Amino acid sequence: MKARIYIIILFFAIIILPGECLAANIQFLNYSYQHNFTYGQTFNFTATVKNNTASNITTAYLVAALTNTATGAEIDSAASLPSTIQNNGAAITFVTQGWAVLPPAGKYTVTLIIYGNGDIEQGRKYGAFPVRIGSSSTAEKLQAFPTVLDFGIIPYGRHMHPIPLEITWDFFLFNVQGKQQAWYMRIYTDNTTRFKGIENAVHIASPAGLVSSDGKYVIPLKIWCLNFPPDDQEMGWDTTLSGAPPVDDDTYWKGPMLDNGKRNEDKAAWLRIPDYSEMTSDRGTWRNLIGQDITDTQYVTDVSRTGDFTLSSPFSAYLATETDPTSVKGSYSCNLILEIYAP
Amino acid sequence: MINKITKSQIQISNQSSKSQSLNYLIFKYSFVIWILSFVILVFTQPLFASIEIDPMRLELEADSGNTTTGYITITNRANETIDVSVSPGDYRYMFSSSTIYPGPGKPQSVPSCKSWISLKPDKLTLEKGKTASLEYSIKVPAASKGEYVGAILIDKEQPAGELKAAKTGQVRVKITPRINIPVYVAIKNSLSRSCEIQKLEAVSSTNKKFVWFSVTLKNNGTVHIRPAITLTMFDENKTVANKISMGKSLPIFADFADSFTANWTPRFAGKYTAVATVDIGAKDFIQKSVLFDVNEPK
Repeated sequence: MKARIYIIILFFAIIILPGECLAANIQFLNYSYQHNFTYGQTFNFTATVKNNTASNITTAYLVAALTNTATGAEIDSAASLPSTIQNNGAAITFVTQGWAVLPPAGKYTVTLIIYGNGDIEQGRKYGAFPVRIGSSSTAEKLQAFPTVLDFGIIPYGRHMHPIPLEITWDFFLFNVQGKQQAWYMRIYTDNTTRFKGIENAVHIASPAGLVSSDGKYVIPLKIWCLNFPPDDQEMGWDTTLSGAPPVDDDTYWKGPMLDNGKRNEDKAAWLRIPDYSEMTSDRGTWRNLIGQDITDTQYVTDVSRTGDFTLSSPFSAYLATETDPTSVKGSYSCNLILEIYAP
Repeated sequence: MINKITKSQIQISNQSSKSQSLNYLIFKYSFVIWILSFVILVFTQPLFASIEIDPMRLELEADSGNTTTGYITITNRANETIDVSVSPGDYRYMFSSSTIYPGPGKPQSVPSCKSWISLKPDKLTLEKGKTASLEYSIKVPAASKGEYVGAILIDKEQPAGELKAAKTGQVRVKITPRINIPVYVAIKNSLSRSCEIQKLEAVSSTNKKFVWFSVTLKNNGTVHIRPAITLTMFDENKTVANKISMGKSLPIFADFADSFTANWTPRFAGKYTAVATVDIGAKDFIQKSVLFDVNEPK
């Protein structure tokens, strides 16, 4: 009976032990791989490891497993040439040998795995940077659907247009070093020629938003997409489950309340769409939807070391308006521009 | 009371017969409804536009007083015919958060060449799979010098439907997808590519084996550069301890400077030398080194 209990405890202990603990035989000293490719290019991964055990690891080899971030599909590289990792602490470098089938275009996370004799895993390392494979280095796809949003009659107060803007994109550009080229997709209105404002007005209003047919008045437009707040852990609204945050709640429209009674506007979920004439070289004046820029640290996190804030294509963006007692009755329209740009 | 019950019974009976007749109608015309649903589904699906543009960026060298011409090819990879309009635009600056701007009295931006750019044709209709060439001409005025920037904007035109003049309460948003090709024009007679490593710093942590590097580059030339920076660390035996590629930077314009940072966690304490190698393009390299110590954590 006791033996059975020991066997059961041992069984569960083996199950509970995390994979990396089991595979602590190998220490990864270094690894490298290029980050960007166009489909059809073959590529390899290099890893330098050493043996931390008392015995040699024979017939060791390296495999790189790529996992597609959109579909979850996994594809393995052809294994490196096998070699013995001596127990004397000497470093040994493995290089994968291309692909049986090249991975299709997409973005992949990287897992480098060292196997030993009998194909038993000896150690693994998760790559810090994703691998991107583009269909063509010059092909760009940018499409919004629908092409025209008809808001009908806007109700008084805040109103979210219930039909989202579906944005389909594919932009792939890298430099001579195989690093991702910085790029942004930003949104703005281009109303400079249409908006005249009220004659002799004390304050000249911003042309951003919907412009009345006579060019005198504007109704500001706000936008929300998954890249914007709220953070569900911080603000209690799970955007992946519940979608766009409610426009009626000031927490999301103006920003959460601070201890000093003011609103933290940096955490507002609904963000104003600027006009082209208001944008400068200061990125704070832009309304970026998605992008990738290693030189811009505001999007760098522990899980996104390259500052990648792209969203899987297609992604949705919602538009909202707010009218107040000073809003003027009439017909309004604007040209909303979605621009992809890499300097 | 009896009357009330009777009335409600009648209402229920009427509703029941109405819903029965509705069910009958749905059943009778189910095939037509199915066909209609299919047609609506097919024709309201997004027809994705995919444009292939080559080149994605124009970096030209031109003589002052001359006109430079070239071609941009646009291929329609979408499943439908698309209308494209092209126009010259202003350059969109994208500075990194560590950009150091020119000192007082010096221009904080590069002059525009938007008015020099002309495009032929300015509107294109591209059938599925077809390629068209767009001719650009950049007429450089005499006595120009240094560098000028602009953009070529490629818009996918989508019908918006005009607002009806007599009717109020119409609110319409037209969406225009736009791809931006930046244009850089360097004037040949004054062209100079030059860059200096203004500062190279290595700061070691006292608590752990960790070093922070900073490389500050200043563009002393007349045109923008896109330097690629590599840091190589040598130990006391002059053996390479590590190599860090800091990537290729965004454009650094004349008189601008930028700082690039990197971190390193060395395996051993000791004295090291860091050598920054900067490739400023056209096979020009510059180097600078700095000595630093890595201490055992306290």
